[in-house]
Amino acid sequence: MPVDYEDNPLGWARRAFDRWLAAAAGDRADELIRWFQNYDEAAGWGDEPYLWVLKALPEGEQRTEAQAALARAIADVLARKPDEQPLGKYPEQVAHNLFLLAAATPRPDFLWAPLKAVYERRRLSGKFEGTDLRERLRAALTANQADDSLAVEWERMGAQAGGDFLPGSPVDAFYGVLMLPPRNGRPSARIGSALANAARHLGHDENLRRPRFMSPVEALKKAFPRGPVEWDVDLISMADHNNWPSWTRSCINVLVITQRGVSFMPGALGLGIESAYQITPLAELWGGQIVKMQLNNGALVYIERLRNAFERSLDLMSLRSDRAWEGLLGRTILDSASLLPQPETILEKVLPAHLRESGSINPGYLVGLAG
Amino acid sequence: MFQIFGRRPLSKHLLEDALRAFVERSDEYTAEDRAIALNLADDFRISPDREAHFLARVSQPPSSGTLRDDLTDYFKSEIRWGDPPVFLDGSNKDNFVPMATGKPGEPGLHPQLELARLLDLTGLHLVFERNTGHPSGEFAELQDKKGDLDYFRTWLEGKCTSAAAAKEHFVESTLRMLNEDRRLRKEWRYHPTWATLWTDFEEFGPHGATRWCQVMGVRPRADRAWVIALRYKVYEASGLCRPTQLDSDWGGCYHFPTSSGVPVEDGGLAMDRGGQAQQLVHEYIHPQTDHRLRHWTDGGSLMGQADWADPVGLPVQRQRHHDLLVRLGQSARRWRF
Repeated sequence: MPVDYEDNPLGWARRAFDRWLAAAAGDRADELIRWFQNYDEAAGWGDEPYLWVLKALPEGEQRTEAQAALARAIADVLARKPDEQPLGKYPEQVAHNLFLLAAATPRPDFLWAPLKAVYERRRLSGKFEGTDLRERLRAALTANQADDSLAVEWERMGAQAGGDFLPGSPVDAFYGVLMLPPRNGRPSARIGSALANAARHLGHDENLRRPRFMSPVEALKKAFPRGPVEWDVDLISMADHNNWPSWTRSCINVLVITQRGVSFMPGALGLGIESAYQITPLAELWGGQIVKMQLNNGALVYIERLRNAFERSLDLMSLRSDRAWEGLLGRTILDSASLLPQPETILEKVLPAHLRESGSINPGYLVGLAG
Repeated sequence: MFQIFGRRPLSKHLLEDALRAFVERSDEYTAEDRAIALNLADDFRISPDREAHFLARVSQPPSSGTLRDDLTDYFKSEIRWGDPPVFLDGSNKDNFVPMATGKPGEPGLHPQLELARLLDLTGLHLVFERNTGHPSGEFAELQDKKGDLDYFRTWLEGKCTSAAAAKEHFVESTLRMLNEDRRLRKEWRYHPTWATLWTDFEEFGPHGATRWCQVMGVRPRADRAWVIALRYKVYEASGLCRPTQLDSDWGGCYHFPTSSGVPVEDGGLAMDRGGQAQQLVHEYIHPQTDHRLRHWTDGGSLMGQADWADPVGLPVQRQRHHDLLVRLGQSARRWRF
């Protein structure tokens, strides 16, 4: 335990936490319950006490041990069945802080069994400051899954079938699936379907669905690091197998991915390449929105220039909707016409196909921009 | 103007002359020195705050020779023996690897992904020597042979080539001893631990310890070193970070800065010392942490002897790594190797 602590709220919290760590394991759960009600050192803290505890965790090599001790103490509190036996003077506040602290402390080796027991008893009820405590339990379960037993629950939530104990939207269900234990370093095979459900759920708001859907996609890519190309190809495959809504095309990189000599690109662009370079597509994916082709050198040069131009424009795009993305793609394709051996292909084939794929964009938009 | 830490300074930078000499005077300095100078020039992941922290600890102005000493001192005092090591300081926050909890809008690495790290048993010579009284009795034979390196190597070879059960007992005792040593003798720490994702490392298991070291971009502390591989979960290693050149010591010539645009969750990308890589291997650092026997057995009880083999030489390794980054779509085109 350090001798000197800073004389400010963080220093006081760290000193209190270090003393808590030094206490007998049996006493830690009682103190945690008191902290969860803003008693003792957690008094006067402006936010909920679980945040105070998280801030008080030591940095450095001691942190892993401190987190393990914290997870054990949370498990001890859970073993007192807070869903059946009210704990403390403010049992809802205790439960709220307990589950959120568990959610922020992913230690399935300590927490999965007691959290699952709360879930299986189906006795948790009540609200804290207007929020259903079962939502907090869902967050704790999401972060601490040690097996696939909740997969069915997440599927039901994703399909909005209702009827089960945990409340949540298809987006919450996606995060449940995301946090299922990895298999050989990969996400659960259910992840593509979970993303399809989330996309359908978000689809009604045409202005915000693209940025909202990109958030779970980014969460998936960051949770399981792989090369960018591998992820792009996998996401196209998921979209194809699970029939993602067509607007989600703007949320993943589809222009143009090349893996082991095979390229994937938007269907309309594939038409242009086919016509200008006499290359037959190897396959159509995702209802024809994506084509797979083996490009020759001329096509590769064209594609590289097109992609660079599109990425430059995308960086500058202030509008975040999928329609804006589709408009930008159309405009870039149009601007690239002079790079093709037969520029008229763009107007005759590629743009009409692009407008069919992108749906409701005003056809005059692209032509107007071109002028 | 010489770019330093990926930034072009408005006026002459304190390190410019020292780094320039490493790069330009091949008669005096080695390929290692040149590699580190180029890495310092290009490693934009060293934030202005971290740069200021480092510059406050170098001679004013440094020559190439004093800079090398200063970097060595910085590594020892601020990282290897630091409590906490400086890579956990707020000045390095851009390199903190967040852990996912499933909370929307807060992405991070999946806490149940598995990491792989190597533990160089030969490099633990002094740690074994100061723990000859360990209750396991495994290290008692070194009591009267302290400082006798030849004896130590013979002794270690005997342990590492013993029957499976004896070997397991030795590894378990060693890991327990390291955990206890860290708590009891707080002044001696061994930060950072270099790790990769187990899925990146796994395929190299049958290829032997020399190859394990090569793909992880690390060099054992001695030739013919005994090395074990450990497999453990991300949540068992708090403080996961993307490494920078400053975390690598002068031996960090085998480091190569991560390309821009790579999410911090991907960590760094290790340079294959064998120059054979076709795929990128992620790399992370974290503070020294506890290990259990299962971390060794879960990884297939991998143990082997690694040599310093550097089959293609540092300049070629760096060029091949650079080319691989570019081929796999990373933005490293402008970097010098």
